[in-house]
Amino acid sequence: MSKQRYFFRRAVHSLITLWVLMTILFCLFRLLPGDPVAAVSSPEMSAEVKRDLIERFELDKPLYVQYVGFFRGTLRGDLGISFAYQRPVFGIVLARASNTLILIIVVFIVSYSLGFLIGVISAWKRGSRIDNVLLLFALGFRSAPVLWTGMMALYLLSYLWHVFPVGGIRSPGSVSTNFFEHFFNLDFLHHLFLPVVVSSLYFMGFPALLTRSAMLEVMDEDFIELARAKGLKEVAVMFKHAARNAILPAVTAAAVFIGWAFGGILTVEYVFSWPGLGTEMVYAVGYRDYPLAQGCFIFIGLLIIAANLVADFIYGYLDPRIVYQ
Amino acid sequence: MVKPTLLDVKNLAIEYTMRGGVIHAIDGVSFEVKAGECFGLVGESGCGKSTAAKAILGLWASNAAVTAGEIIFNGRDLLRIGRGDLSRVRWKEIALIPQNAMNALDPVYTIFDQIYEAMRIHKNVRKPEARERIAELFGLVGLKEDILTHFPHQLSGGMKQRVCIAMALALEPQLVIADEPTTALDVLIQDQILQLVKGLQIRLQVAVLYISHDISIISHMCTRIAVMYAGRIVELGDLRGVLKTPYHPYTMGLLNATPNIGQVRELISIPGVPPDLRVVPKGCRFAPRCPFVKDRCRLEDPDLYAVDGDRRARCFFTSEALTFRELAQQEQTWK
Amino acid sequence: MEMRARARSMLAGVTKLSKNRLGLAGSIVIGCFVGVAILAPYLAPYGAMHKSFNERGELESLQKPSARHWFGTTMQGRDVFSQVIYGTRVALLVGVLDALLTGFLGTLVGIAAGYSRGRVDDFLMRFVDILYSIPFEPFAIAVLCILGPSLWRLIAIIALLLWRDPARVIRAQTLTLSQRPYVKSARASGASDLRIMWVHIAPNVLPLTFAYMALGAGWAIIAEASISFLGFGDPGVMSWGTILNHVFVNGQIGNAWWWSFPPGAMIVLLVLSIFVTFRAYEEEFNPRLRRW
Repeated sequence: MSKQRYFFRRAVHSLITLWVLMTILFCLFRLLPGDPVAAVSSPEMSAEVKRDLIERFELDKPLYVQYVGFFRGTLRGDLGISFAYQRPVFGIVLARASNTLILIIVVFIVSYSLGFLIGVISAWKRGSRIDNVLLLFALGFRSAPVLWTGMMALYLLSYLWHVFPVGGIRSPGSVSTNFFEHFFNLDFLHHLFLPVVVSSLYFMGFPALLTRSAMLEVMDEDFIELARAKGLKEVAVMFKHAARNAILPAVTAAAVFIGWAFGGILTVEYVFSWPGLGTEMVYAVGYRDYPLAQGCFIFIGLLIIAANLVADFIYGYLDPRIVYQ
Repeated sequence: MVKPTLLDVKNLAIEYTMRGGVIHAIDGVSFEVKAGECFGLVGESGCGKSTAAKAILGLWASNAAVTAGEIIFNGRDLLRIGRGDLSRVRWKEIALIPQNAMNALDPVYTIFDQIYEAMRIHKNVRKPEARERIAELFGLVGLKEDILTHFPHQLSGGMKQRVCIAMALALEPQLVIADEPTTALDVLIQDQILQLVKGLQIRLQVAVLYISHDISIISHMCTRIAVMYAGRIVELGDLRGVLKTPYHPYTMGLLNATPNIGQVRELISIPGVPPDLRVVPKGCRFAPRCPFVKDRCRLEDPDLYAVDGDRRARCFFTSEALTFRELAQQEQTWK
Repeated sequence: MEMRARARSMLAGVTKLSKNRLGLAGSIVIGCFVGVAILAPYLAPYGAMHKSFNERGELESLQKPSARHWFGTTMQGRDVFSQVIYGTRVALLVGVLDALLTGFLGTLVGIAAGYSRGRVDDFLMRFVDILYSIPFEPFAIAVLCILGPSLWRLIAIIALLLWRDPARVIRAQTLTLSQRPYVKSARASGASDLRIMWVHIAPNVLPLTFAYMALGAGWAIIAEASISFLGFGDPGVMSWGTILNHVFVNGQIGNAWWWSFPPGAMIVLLVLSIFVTFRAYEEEFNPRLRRW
């Protein structure tokens, strides 16, 4: 199948997934026990405001009309008004999304690279002490919930030894004028460090174990033996040939990894008070601020789907068999 | 004209360590390959021929170990030289044509990349120069240059095998180990590749160690052969001699079971199976299946005895070979 | 016949397990946890919610570890050690239930999809694919918020998203198995599909099922802890995650290390033991992963 057809198919698949996700969301938030109005209003609002909202969100109309309205509204960018902030949800969510995105992109890169490296070395030195140590290392961190390692890291490094800040995204009172200054300054990196390290240690177990199994399978292949027969140094055989092939199943599994990581990042954000979609959603749900919670969920879903598309692109680029057929 | 000895394998022994125990894959394997000749190593699956051949290049599984022997090539013992020296010998002096061409090429690199890699490891050659050399090689094996930008999955089995042959010859090695290169191909392509390899061997005067389970293929290719059974060489010598006047009962049985060799007659197979090599068998390894077995065979292990000039056979009773040969032709001998 | 042989070989596996020291250690630890869970009321010196007062009648709030309180006390004067012990019950309940649910559901769907192929398979696999896009934590807190937090609901939600993995893998295995000659001949000789699936395919995917049950148990325990930590756990249940939630909302992560360390450490210990035991078991039974 040609490049175009492959990417087209993946894009269509993503759209379908998005549609299903939003439908689930629709059902979820309309399923509130009791008053359907509760989905868009808080008890403190006056009857007049409630009536306005009912009209606006067509809550008195039959469900299928609401369904269409929901989609139309979302596509327009109208995600409702947050109770707590008294502002349009869309604006709030957009701002938070960029914070989450930065965090998760860095975590992805670090954990997947580290995990991949560990997997390759572990498979290469299979059975040796290094293999056992690395495996235990990866498994150990995979068994430690990131919320707890985060808390322990904060206790030791932030509260006790004051090496890192206690949370948040930048020190209070810092001012920046443009995007670059916003994200590429030392203060920001200082705040970014702990959440990234703690998350990566947790998430790297998955690509590590996956890469290791993939490597073990590839290492048995004939072309690996032939690479050695050519006189290639063992390091080159492992990385240039074995790892290069093992990366394919590892990227295929990225879909699973992405779903898992985006969910887990919620907890990380909460522990470190990182002002992203995760923390916002936890607070929103806690305060019964349904429009905001819904908005966060939609955005998280969107980001997941986008990430999956990127993973598909990367795979298409890495595996010549997909594209040249 | 006596050709100089290029490769001298002496008493090679290799063991595999597995969960169930230790498998003595090959034991006491000795043979010589002379410069420019085609030497055949023949035997059924599992007899250790591939293991022995690949050991020359230092290629054995991670759970395998060489427990004895020497592999003398150009005056050096390949089993005892340093890793750096060994990698310099690989491909440049001794190349390999792999058995399974379907799997022998890395699926994520182009054909050009893979052949270029082989060259680059040993010579500082630039891409245009490499392309010229590859064009030359492709001419020899009958391939078009346009496949250079292709990936392995885009080529047919026969084409891949030709690529492997071209790649093996890239650095003009002195010895090429051909590990059953036609096994994975269908019969028509098999024939083509065979003709190709034979032609190249004669033309380029390169020594070939040809491994196969098919004695008829060997008979078309090689001038000297060794027959392997249960990890050992049981017969050795010039092709014509071994085929016309075999000294070892296993060889006799093998010839019986092969169509189109010798006279036209019924195919007779050797009953039984090769021994389990987890336990070192007592006595001659072929004894359980040999129709001419005597008491001594079960107790003592025969050496590879010289029988006639260059000929060798691993049997106590080579003096009775004439009688054995006649009996071996009859079906009821093998029941 | 085959099932009995399988059971016997699995029992033999358990005895072989004892040869692998790490696996043995893991099994022992799991055994300890089970013991603690069963004997909780006898082992815990106080009730989980019991507030302790000292001789002067003051609440023993945020006490460091001492002879009276091995793990110290919480902000509300409750004994951390007792809480951790009672938390074991929740963790094991979640682990076992979710393991069973995941194994059962995943195997069922996997075999059904892999054996039927065609449209059924397509549909089921697309369904699973889409499920992969649903992130666990956001989904869980949304549902729990709307329907109300409860341990059973949480267990169900976890299982709902967990069965994706075994379903895919078992489906792949079933696909390969249904091409085997003995399955084809069984079909030709008129055996019903259900019978084939039960007799020929199920026993062969069982090792995979167990593998994913183990993985599922580990992951479920962490998932429940995360959700409880975020504040959406069952309010009537004292799980390890809930304890950590209390630490966090009371602003004690920078201070009461005796309160925050033990619950998490228990999680790590339990989950790691599960993973380690499983890996040892897998090495015995999956020849490809064997180290000679």
